[in-house]
Amino acid sequence: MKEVHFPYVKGLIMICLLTFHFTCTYFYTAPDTFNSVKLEIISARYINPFFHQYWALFAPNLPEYNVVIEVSDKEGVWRNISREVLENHYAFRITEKGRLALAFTGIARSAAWECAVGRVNENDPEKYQHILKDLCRGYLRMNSTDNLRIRLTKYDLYSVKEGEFIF
Amino acid sequence: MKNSIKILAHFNTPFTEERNVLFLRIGVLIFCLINAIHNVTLLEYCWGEYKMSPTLSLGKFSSNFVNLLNEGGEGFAILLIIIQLLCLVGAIFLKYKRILTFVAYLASANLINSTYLMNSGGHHVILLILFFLSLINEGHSIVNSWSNAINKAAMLAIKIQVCMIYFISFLYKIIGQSWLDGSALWQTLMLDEYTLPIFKEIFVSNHFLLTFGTYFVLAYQILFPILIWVKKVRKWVLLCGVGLHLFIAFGMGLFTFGIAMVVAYFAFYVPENKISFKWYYKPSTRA
Repeated sequence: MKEVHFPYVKGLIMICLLTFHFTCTYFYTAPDTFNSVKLEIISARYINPFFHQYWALFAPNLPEYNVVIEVSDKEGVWRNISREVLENHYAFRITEKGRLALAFTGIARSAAWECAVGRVNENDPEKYQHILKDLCRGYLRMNSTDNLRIRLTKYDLYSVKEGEFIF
Repeated sequence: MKNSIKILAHFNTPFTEERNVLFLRIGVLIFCLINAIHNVTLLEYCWGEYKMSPTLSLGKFSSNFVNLLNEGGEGFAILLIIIQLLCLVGAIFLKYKRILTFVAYLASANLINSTYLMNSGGHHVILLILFFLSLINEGHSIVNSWSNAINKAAMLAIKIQVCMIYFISFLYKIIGQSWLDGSALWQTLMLDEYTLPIFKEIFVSNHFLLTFGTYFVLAYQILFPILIWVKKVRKWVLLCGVGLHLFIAFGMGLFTFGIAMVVAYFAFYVPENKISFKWYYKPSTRA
């Protein structure tokens, strides 16, 4: 029997797969302005399990404030965690210190925003405050039941104090 | 019509980017080695008694494969780190490149997804590259074979993925006021975690440089997906990108992201040199 040879079938299949994959990637990652909600939900089913990605750091707008984290146990002496993690981050640029600093500052900013705005997450109105508490407890090697108070002080980009939250 | 045929025929031509793949494999290995050192130093914060980060908690289907470390477990994490590194080394030296890289991908995905809060975009870049690398076996490049076609498609996928990162990032930026008015770089350097005190002193008073830098980033992100396909300017585009990403890595402190993007550039270009890579497994299977 003569073998039928389709020289371009491989190319056609590869092009179809690539087109499908990157069309889904686009709808999963693109900003709402250039996206369709329906297609975003559909493509999430394919992309989310194995190809999750997010490319909106520093965009569309950057944060307009810094947050200083201080922690205290019952006795009320405040310890400035921000200074500790940031000084390590500045001094040891390529080490794991940077990852700690980014985790702390990112969550602290979200927690300050949550405190200022009120209910941000319907299911867990204090979501970021809880995550920050877990982070601080881990950093201080405390048990999850230990008492811990956190004071967040918000400064604008010119270092003018804008607000303070204790939880 | 002729062009369409040419594009389809591209997948039948022999895979010739073995050196790019090798550099990608080595780059990914170095990234994972650095990440492993970070993770081991932070072991108890990542997976131990003082676990800090909530997990990424991806879809149910992938839970069985890439979310195995959600509940922590230092011993299991160390095991996965060892498997990841051994498989990556094995993929360079041995012939079972696809399976070894795929195992490394699964191990990496579990490690990365469970420390979500402490990751940067760089971790996701490396995961995506690893997935596509797991489809490549540069030793199997017989013309007109399926293996060869898959190699070519996977390599193209890595390149498109890098372009996609810049393009999507650009779309987010052009809807932001601070990027359009040129103040974004100044604003970034004023954020405590994305600056260095010495950088603040040097750059913050120089408005021209900061505005130029902001627009340069915007221009680079939209031009990269176009110019990278033009052979004549490719080297210069990548050189600008390396500068930009080294600034992001050391100036802004996003070390893992900066390094991951530089690694991804090996998909487009590897420097010519006289190293023969005799130790590198590459059977001659071309027809």
